[in-house]
Amino acid sequence: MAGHQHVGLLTDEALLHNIAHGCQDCFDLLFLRFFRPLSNLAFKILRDRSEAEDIAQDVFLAIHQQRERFDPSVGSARTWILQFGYYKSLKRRTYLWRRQFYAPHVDEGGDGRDPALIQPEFIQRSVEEKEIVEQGLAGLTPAQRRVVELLHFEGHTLREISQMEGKELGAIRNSYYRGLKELKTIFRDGVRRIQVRGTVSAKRRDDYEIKL
Amino acid sequence: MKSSFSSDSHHERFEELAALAAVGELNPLELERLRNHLAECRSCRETYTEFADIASNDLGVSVAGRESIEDLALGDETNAREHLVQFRSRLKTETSRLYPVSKQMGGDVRADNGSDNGHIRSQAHRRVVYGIAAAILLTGSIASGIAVWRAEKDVSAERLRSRELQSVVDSLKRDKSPERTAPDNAVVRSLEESQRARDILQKSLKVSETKNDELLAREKASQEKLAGAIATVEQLKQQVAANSGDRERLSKLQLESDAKLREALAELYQARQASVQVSMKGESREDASLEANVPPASPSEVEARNLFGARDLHIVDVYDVTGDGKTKRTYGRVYYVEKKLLVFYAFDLQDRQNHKQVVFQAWGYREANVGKPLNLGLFTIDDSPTSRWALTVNRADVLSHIDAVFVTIEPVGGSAAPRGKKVLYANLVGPPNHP
Repeated sequence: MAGHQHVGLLTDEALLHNIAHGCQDCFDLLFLRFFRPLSNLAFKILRDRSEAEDIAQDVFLAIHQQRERFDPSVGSARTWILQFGYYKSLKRRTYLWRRQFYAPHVDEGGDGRDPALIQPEFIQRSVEEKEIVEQGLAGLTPAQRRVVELLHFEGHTLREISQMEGKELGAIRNSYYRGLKELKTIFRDGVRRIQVRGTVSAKRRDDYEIKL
Repeated sequence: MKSSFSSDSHHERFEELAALAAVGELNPLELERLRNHLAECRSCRETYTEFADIASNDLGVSVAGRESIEDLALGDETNAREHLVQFRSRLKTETSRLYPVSKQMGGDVRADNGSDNGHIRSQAHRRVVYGIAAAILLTGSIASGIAVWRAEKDVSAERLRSRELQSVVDSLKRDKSPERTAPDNAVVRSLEESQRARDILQKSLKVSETKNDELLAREKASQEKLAGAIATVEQLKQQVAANSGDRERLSKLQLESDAKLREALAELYQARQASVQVSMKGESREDASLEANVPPASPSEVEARNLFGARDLHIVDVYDVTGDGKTKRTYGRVYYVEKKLLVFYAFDLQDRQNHKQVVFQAWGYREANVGKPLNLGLFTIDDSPTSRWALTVNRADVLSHIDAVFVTIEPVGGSAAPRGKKVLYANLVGPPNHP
């Protein structure tokens, strides 16, 4: 393993690589580089600055503890970190939402009494999968895409979207469901996904090694 | 087919709930329903997992890709650095792996940068000094930092929860009445409106009860009227039945009366006939004898044999008689055996007289005698198709006193003496012309 200098020019992937090998300075650099965007992303979803900053810290803690899980052949470090931040934020929001009614029982890590509603494991998505998601979103009806984007990209609740759009909450909920169902159909095209992934993963891995 | 459709619809409802559960958008009731359903439905469990994966991972990568690149630029790092300090404290409490590995990693880094040993060495010295100072500071501040961090987190969580609860309450209020601004006032207004509505309803109820009583009274009166009408109808029915019986009885009586009347008329007619005969008998013995033995219309077989075999037979054509007594065409024929038998056939007598209430009566007389004609009797129809009338006289005592016959139209029952119009005439004078 070649040595490195702790300068700001190191790529995100290089920082993660060094972190995986125990470099605290790289971790600090990564923290300073991504704390703000992570907090902003979490704030969009959670609507609470304190909760958002906690989520950002949670993300870095998870990165530190699971630093070797980042696969540069799948996607960029930036996407991975922010995707992870989104994943944690959404999980937290779901937990907080349920806690309004089940405060004494709900476990943030997934209710042990409620195994069917556990949030799935975080899985790093590739750039190609991101493209599929974008294509899937483009394939939705305008109303469905609007609801999905307002909820997932802007962090609004369905009730807020209902008020914003001036539509019944039931209609908004159904639009979201229809949109998600359409995306499920698109994403189920495993052949397409595998093909896309297979053609680029090897090249991306090579690029990553070269950068290091 | 229906059950399949219903089942699909059922699953679709839970699929929708699953999609909403993936982003925490279910209310408690929906969540409970979904939980119960997922416990039994593998298909919906898989659907939920897929939805949750899309929401958490697939859309996450897209969200990450859309995050503004400006956020990544190094701006004000003060907040980030403060959080980094907090993070380190937190990290130390949760794991002890980082720094030992980091020291080793740092050693590797120093070894890998031999071309800049002075810089690295001074950096290492600074790190030692800073480390000692930081250790002293951290030793005292870690505990308080952790306590403060936890307290802030708890307070923050409670604030968030409080805000969320308040937002839920506000949302519920908006759902119920968006225009409300003061809940208490709204409740008071609502109560007042309810009270007013209740008063109105009570008034309306009283009015309705009054109307109901009136209607009940009307109904009762109508029922009484109806009962009276029914009784009247029953009486009328009985009367009609009685009248019907009377009518039948009267009809029967009428029939009986008609029968009796007919019998009486017949008896009367017979009596009148008898009276006529009696009166005729009183006027003339010959006439009485003639009336008492009314000959048949046509001659009997014996008479016919005597007639056609007689040596002194007269066959005389009968002529129509004009108003001045002159004859016209033949309308009948007389077969006459002197002083024994006379058979008189006449034709179309009915045509001569349109009315039917008459009879055709034959009379005999002697032209040299101006005395009263003798009644020979009434013509009777002998053959309807040919409109032939006939009269047979076989009384020698009468025939010996006549040498001419004529026919008059007389009232029903005949007359004692010829009074009606004379329509036929035949002269029997002269020698027998047959054979």
